[in-house]
Amino acid sequence: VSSRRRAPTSARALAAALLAAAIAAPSPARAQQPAPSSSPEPPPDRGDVSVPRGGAGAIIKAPPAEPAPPPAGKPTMPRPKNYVPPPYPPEAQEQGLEGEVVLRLDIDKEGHVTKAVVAEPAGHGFDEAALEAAKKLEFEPARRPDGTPFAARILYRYGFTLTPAPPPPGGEKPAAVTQALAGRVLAGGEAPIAGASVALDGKEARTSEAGEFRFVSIDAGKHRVVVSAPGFEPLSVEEDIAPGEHTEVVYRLVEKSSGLEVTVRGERPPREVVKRTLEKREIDRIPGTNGDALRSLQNLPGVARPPAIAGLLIVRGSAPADTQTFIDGTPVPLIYHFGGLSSVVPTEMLDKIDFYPGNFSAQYGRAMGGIVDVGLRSTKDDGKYHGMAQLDFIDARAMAEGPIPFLKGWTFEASGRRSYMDAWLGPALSAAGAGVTQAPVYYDYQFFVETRPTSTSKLRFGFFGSDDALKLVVTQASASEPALSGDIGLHTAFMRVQALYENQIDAKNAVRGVIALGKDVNSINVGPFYGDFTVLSLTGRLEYSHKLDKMHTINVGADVLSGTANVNLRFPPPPRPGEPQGQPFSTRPPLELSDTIGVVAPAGYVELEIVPTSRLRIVPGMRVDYTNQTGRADGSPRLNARYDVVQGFPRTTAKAGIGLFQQPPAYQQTLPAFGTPGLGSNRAVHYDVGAEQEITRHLEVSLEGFYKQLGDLVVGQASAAGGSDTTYANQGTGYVVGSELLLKYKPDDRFFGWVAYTLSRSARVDQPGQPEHLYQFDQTHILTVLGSYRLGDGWEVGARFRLVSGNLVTPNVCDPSDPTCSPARTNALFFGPGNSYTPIPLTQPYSERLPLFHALDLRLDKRWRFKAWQLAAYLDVQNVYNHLNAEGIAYNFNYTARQYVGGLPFLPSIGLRGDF
Amino acid sequence: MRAASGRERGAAARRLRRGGLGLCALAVLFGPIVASGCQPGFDPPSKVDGLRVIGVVADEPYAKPGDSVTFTMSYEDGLDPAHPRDIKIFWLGGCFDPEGDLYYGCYPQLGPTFQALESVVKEHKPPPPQLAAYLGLGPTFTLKLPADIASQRPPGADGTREGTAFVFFVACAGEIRGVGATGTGRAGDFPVGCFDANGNPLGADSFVPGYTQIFAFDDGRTNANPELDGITYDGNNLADDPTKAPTVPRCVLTDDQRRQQGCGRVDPTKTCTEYAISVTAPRGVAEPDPTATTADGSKMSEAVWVDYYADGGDLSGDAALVSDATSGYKDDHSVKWLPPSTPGLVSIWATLHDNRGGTTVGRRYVRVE
Repeated sequence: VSSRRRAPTSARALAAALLAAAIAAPSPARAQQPAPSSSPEPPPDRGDVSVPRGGAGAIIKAPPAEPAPPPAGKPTMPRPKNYVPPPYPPEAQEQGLEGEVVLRLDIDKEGHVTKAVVAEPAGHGFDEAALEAAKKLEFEPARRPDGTPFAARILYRYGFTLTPAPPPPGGEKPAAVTQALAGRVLAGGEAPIAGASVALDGKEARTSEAGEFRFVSIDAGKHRVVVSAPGFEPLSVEEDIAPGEHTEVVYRLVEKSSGLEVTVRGERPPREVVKRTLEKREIDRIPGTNGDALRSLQNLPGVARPPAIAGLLIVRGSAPADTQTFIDGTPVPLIYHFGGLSSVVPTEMLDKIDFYPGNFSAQYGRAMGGIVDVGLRSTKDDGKYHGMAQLDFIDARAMAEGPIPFLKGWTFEASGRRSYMDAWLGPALSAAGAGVTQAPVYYDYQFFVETRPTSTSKLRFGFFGSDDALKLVVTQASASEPALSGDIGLHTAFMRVQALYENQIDAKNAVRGVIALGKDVNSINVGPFYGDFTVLSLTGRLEYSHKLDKMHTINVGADVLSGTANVNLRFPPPPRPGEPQGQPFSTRPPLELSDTIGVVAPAGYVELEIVPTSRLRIVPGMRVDYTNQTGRADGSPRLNARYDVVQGFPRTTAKAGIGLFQQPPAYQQTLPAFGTPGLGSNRAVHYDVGAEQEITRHLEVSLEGFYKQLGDLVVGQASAAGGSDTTYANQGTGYVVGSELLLKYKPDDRFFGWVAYTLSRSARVDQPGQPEHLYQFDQTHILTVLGSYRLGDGWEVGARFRLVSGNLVTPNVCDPSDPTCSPARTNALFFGPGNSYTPIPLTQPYSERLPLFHALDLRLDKRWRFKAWQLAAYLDVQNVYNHLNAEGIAYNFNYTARQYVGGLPFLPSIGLRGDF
Repeated sequence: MRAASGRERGAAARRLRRGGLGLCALAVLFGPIVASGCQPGFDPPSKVDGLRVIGVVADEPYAKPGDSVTFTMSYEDGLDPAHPRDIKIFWLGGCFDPEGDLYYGCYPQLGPTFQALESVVKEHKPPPPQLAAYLGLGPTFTLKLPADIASQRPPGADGTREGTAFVFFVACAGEIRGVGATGTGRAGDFPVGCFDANGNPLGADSFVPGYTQIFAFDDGRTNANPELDGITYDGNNLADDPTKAPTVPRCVLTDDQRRQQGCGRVDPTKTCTEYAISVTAPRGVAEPDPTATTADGSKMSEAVWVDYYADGGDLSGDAALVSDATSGYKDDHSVKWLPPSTPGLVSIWATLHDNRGGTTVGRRYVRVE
């Protein structure tokens, strides 16, 4: 970010005359090419190498100078020999639109462009113009240190910006003037950066020992200035140089953050309604998350606060099971380790997280809540080896990546993590008499190899998984469950072998497919009881996108979920004839079951992206799901639309969507021994409407309203045949209504932060004719305010404050602070066959809200940079002022007294991380 | 000079920053200790310090249709042993095969019976003849089951028909009276309360409402109450005669010290002697359960467990498994007992249950000096 002041010179008249001469040239576009760098390092493979400009009255500048010879001992990347300016798209020029297009160019040994593909499109005709121009580019080919040319691929960026219109003909001719831009480049703490590169319209300057630089005799108008220095994030700013002025600026560079960029998108445009983006710096500096990308999801609007240490994702008032999670399109049963302590994929491997709180694309189904699709990044292919290691109180993880020796064109990425709480928490709890022999242990692992068969395609094979285990010993049974003593264990694991292929065949066609073999293990043992669910699955997803014409793109795809589920369990069933219902669960003779269930769930979908004007995008879609669980095919039509009310800055966008979403019943609800075969799918209709508004370049606000109409919900009820059996039926209904507000300050060199607020209501009617009640996961108000500020010298401090409505509970004892509470009420009945007490619910289910949750979390980071690596340390403190947040209500044995069960207390965590 | 001032300011800023970081470090190290709570927990269910029902025994947990079943309540008023109160016991029967086999499914059937009970108590009128058989007073109550209690129900998966009967009871240290609804829950409200002479409602230490449930099968299936031989302390039999009670020394720990949890918890064995309390029952206490089988077809037995109670001192546990449904008899089903801090006669109860509604109650004594 720059600060600046202007210094008018005495030569203002001369400068004005030069400006007038410059803008009088008749060419429609102006192209500027940077001079070859004098640095001995090879040029970057992502080039800001060409900046065509459009607008009324532009200039074509001279072609670039001859490239410098390759430095000895290192290969060189292709260097441009010519420059072909693309025409400025007339439509974009008329609308005053600017843009940037990044192309992926394949350059052969002769320096010819053999293939050009749009890597980052800009639309509005920019892409086509850039592709057309790129075909005419000529390059000095990439060369090995011995001078042998070789084929290479580079990223090449065309920037399209508008220049000011010339003064009206006949106007007063300004006097010739000259302009200058000078300044300093500083690091955090105001330390000057010597030797930094400052590029302005193809010219490059190096900063002095004092961090100073200067450009003289530059044209008036807008200029793109790119500042870069090793170890710092490059800075690209636009300077508007007024005629006749000397402009002095200060550029502050930000130290490079560790890892890669990770993007969290609220809903992926253009197929969905909303877009939200979290940058890497935001994700790994949010207090209370220990730098875990997936945990940062819980700070977004529409995501409720999960109960303490629960790794649940509660999206827009839906049950956690209503939200599906994927890793690169492959479904996985969980994304958080035990208790939500960390996620099952390390942040360093993430490319993006697509998060759809509702009205998601037809490419997703079998869920009526939300979707989280974690995208893994490609392995680094810079020919070097990289690594990272991190440890804190809870776990340690490491990652390595680089080229595979003797396997040209292939790279690998491997990482692993293991918790070691068992080493210290288990003995500590055991010494405190908690009866715990082993604290939670979790680990995860990822291994990928990747290549690019062609310049436009990617092929990746991967193996990843996660394992969580918990083992306790209950030495003394409770009165309520006298048979529950001994070992209590939980084990959740999944493993996937995945193959992924994607190919941007050309500007109009793209294909992406992923297939995975998987194994899921869920087992539980509680004293004499156990349940093992092992699922062997084959999942696949294939999508083909074709741009029919300028206005239409079609996406066609299919996905399949198939496999077998082996069930082995020994568990008390619902009370059988002759067994009183109120007796301890653990004393019922268990049901033993060993069975194999086949699951086949294919689906197909089609979506059409319609762009009738540059302002409007409409995406109708249709999905059909079949599952042998229900024996039915469910059709799910969907429609999303976005409209730019104001294009360009400050952009104003309106958006809306509607769609039908269907979710099969849970497995246990259709198992003959425990559930009811023949159930249909749960159903939800999502309605969304909203708007986005840019306020400043860094500040934006978005507001969305949503309504989910729920029907055919599977609910349990007493058997119609009498007795105590429970049967399930598609009889439940309900709704979720709410609005979400996000006021976000996008990261600058010092600060980022946002305010997220959700107002919602989630209600259910369990059976026709019964009264409506709030749903278990309803949270009326969810407010998250967070920010992080760089102090300099590698220090950064952040804070997060959350204020959330308490969770809902079904009270058996009235709240003593409630004036209507009658202390004489009979809260429970003594139950003779069990000598236990049967509580009499005070109200309908989930009628009492626990007290307001609020907590302040703080985070302090410090980074030390060394020549070849860097070390970072952080202190993350949750619940700084140790507020007792109620997570539930505990009752005494006969329900005459109650007290709140507290959540996380003041909890500090310290971590260390090194990477190279 | 200005440069020097700048350096001083920088040093001051560094000192301030170091101070802030030092405070932060102190907070990290000592904050949890300062902030953590060491609150005592609830009283355990095994502690008898008010009016408590110790067990309700049906002589036929599985009866035959048309049988008369007798229920016996064991109770104790531990509120103030020096001033025993007049405890009234009332029974209400007549609920057969309610909706969902749920106790609150009885309320529509039993509405007139509850009203009759109130008028019997309040106005000393005899109940209507048709309800007389369903009302009882005192520690025992006999109910005759309808002959069609099982046959009116649809057959189960194995072809047998099963009916069920619910019997409600109240133990009250005052006068019972009807009460209005105080909640809106699905289970409704219990329709009677217990009041003192001034009309003030009495709490759970003076009023225990409850219910029990028995079954009747058309195949003649039976279930006997589990057999209880005695109660031991450290392997020695406790006497069922107070005059022959063994003597143990008192434990001087206060109530708060006994209930303390977490960081301030006192290890009682460093100050006092604990005794292992255990129920003795035959190894074959659990009957075979004809409805429960393993995956390979083997038969399972009932599960049997014991609830312990004491009106003095503290028990380390409230319940223990005596016989598992598949693995059978458990050799160790003891709990630890810590004598009270005050001398006197202490009662220890063991209530043995099986999972099919069978119950047996035993009471033994120990003297604390």
